[in-house]
Amino acid sequence: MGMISTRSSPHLGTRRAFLVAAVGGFFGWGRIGSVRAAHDADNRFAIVVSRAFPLSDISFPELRSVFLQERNAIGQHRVLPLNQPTGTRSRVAFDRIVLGLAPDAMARYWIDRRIRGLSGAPKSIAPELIVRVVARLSGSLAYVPVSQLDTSVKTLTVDGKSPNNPSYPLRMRA
Amino acid sequence: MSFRSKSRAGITAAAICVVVAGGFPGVLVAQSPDASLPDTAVPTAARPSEDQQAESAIAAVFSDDPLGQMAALEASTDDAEAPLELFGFADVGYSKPFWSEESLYAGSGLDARPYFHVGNLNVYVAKTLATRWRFLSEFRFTFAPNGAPSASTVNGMVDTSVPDPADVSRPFRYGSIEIERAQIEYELHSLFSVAAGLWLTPYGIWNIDHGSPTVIAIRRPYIVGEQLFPERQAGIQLRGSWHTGSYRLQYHLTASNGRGPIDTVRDTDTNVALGGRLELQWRGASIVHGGASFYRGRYTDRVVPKFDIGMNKALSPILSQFDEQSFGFDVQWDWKRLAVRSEFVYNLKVYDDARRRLVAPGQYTPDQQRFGMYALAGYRFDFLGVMPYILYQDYVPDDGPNVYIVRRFQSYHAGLNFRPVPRVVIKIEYYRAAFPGALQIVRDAETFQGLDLQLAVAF
Repeated sequence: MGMISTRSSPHLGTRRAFLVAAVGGFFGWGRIGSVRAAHDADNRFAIVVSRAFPLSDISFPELRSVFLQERNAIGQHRVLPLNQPTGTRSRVAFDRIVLGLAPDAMARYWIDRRIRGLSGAPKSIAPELIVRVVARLSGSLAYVPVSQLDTSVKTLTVDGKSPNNPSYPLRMRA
Repeated sequence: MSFRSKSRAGITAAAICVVVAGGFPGVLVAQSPDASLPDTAVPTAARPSEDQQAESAIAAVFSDDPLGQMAALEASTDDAEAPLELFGFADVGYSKPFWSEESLYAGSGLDARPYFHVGNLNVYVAKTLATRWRFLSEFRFTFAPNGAPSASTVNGMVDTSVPDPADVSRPFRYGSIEIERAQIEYELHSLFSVAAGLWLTPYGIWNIDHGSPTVIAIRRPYIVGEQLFPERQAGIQLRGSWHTGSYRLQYHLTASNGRGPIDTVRDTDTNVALGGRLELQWRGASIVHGGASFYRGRYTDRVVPKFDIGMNKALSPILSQFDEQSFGFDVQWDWKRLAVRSEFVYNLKVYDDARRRLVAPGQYTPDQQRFGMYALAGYRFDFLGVMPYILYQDYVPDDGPNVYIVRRFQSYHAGLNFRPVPRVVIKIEYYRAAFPGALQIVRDAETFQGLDLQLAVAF
């Protein structure tokens, strides 16, 4: 068939090559585009709460003070921050972006707090469970890469900005 | 088993199958093309999907009680019942004074020979009792009174060696435990929580930081060590915090027995000591804390009450009594790797004229005012967490009898705080002190200087 077709039209090979290139290019670019989108979704953190949680926005200073255990309520609403496990990419990045501390400085911060008689770091939850836990536990608050979001939880805006906003503050540097 | 019973069992099994099939039609349809085959459906239901396993795990971790869930999470535990938390810090050190064994300082009880020592061994026991309820205690294990001055022994030092009944009476040395704090906390609201028991006085920076891995330098500043504020008090403490933007305002209000010879267990007068602290923090490009603290109380030393039959009343004569007030200011600034700390503290003791303490024949303790400050600056490098620091102290002791010997301490410290891993801190510090306005004998004495090393760990 192919041979016949090729013979039947000398331009067919060129056309096919163009078609292959076009289709391949389309899928190729599409794939690159989707990889970029996925990468971008991994580089943004969403602040998630249970769907029943009454607030829809949190300010950056509120977020920082909640995860530094300096406060346990936003307005009248008691909140319970949940961490990603120590050493994970998300935890390290979140600590740097939001809390402004590198891993060693972060560890010193929690140790020193305990010696002062204050509470330690928020509880860590396995990444694969954290969304489910937040969905079930009203008042809990966690950060997850946007790529891990699902409809079981509510995403808070930060300083009024959603994760899709270009100036969203919880964004890792690529 | 009879046929009838077999038949009944079969009916029961069929009924269960119907119930299972009715209860999980989706499972049966999805997992088994033939819905009439219960053998396929039951194992499917018994082997839940990964998602179901995860949900089961969550359900196992967190009970249905929301308060229990919160308590468990706040306690950083995987159990609904929060476990006992056990942690603490310890330090060991080596000191090398640079004065001679014949010096004035050696004669004042300051060791002139280099020595190793175990400094602090502090163990915390804490537990989240329920949501909003927490218990915290801290114990310091010491070798005291071993080595303490004693007028009743030949060498002037207490030796705690006693026979060990568990080891054919071979000698061993007993030590002691100091209760640093033991408090029960209840948080009603972020603006209002209460701690009752024995707590560290909330003033300044050092008294709360206090743990050797946490504080930057090795020795406590004079104004902290000399307790211009009481180090700890027995009573209640109210506290709360209020946030707005990058600012946090914290308050502490305290009511306690005040200072006294047995203040952890008794108040030897009817005066309630009051204190408080207000602290403002700003967290932005840098972190700035500013605080102001005060304390006002009465110290009373009296004889244990005894009933006098002749006078038909209990008598408890007062040996000495003074009112005191303290206030202090502190500032803490952290900018990138730079850390700056400074405190100023003032204390005034005013005696009841009829109850001044007799310090020598015909000489009574005068009213006293003490004040001083310290300022510390350090910069932590990325390289192995090394922080060079300098510390300056200036302290005016009091107007008491010591004024004739030393009117003022000034000391300069330079050191390295090396934290190779967050839980281990190695410090080395050189210090040198001067005593402006002191008696000629002090000014003519050798330079007061030395070198300290400390290895501190948090566990």
